[in-house]
Amino acid sequence: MPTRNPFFVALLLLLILTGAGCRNSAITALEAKEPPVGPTLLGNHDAREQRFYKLFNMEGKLYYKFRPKSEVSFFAFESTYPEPEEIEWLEKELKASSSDWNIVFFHHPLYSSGDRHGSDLRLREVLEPLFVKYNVSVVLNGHDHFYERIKPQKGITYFVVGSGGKLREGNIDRSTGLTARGFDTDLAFMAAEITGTEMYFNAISRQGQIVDSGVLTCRKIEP
Amino acid sequence: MNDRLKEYVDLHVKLERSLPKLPKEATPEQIDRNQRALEKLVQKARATARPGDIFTPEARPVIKRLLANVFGGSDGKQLKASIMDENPVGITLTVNGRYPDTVPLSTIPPQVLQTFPKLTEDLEYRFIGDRLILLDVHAHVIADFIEDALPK
Repeated sequence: MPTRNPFFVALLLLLILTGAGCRNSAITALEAKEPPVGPTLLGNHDAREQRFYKLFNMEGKLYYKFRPKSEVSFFAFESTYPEPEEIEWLEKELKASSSDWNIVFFHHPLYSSGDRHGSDLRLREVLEPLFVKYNVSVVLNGHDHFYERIKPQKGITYFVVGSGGKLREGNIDRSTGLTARGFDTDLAFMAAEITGTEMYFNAISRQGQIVDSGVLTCRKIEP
Repeated sequence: MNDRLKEYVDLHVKLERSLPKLPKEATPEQIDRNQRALEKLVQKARATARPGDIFTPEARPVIKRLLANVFGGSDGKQLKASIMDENPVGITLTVNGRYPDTVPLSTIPPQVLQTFPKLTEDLEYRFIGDRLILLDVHAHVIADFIEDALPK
């Protein structure tokens, strides 16, 4: 179902998430059009000082939290160089969050069927226990250049939305058993709207075709 | 090695302070110009830098041992594969040279960073091929590197 007034649009964010070859087009798009709808983060092809670019809205921080509404918190995590301090920061912030929706986004996917990159198991080892323990409902990643919604893992929905960059056509390995919905034949972006405990999402191709849609309910772990 | 690191950071800080301060809302061009200016200053100040100046001969075997421990587990092969992802081999590196613009930053697994000596935010450990490099993040300069750092 099409969403109205998308609460956040993942396209610009994921132009950055996809890294190579996208950075310049992302900057051009940002300069030429509307201001970015949300903060960004760096990928493995991005120089560290880009966190100071005004249009990237990072305010010089490699990782940070923002809370557009009291019921929704986003956590931007820098995954190419996850120092112990950053992991401690994430745990502390997730633990302290009172939002219904905790959404974490970073470059490298913990789950992906990408034939080129795939799942980052070492990062998963460290981050997944935090996500499970502290009520994360949704995780947004890039790195693999396609769209994939992963079957819920320990109650958490993971999206790979690296589909704003240079497409890796046919790169989804369907044999992983992870894919709830995959789209690797054209560029795509994802839009979502959160209403109370529900998140409506669409993935939309460059041609305007809705290639995935659905509704998620936020996880709620009783203290 | 800690003393050498401190010397390097002190130099870096001194050189960085000698540059005009970037405005709060600097453009990408201004940021890039500033970074390249710092690169030149660092390269000039360390014109005679050689491998081993920071990763000292005493520190090198220790670092290699730490890496061997991290990579020695049953999933060591997989871990190495994650580091080598998009990480080209055969690139010529020079101490005090610019980090190659075409080489993406390798991902450093959290398990490696938990093991290594902590660095200030000016510096990062990265891998290019199987070489461990010490990257001056602000100047884009390779401060030092260790050949064959990753176990075979």
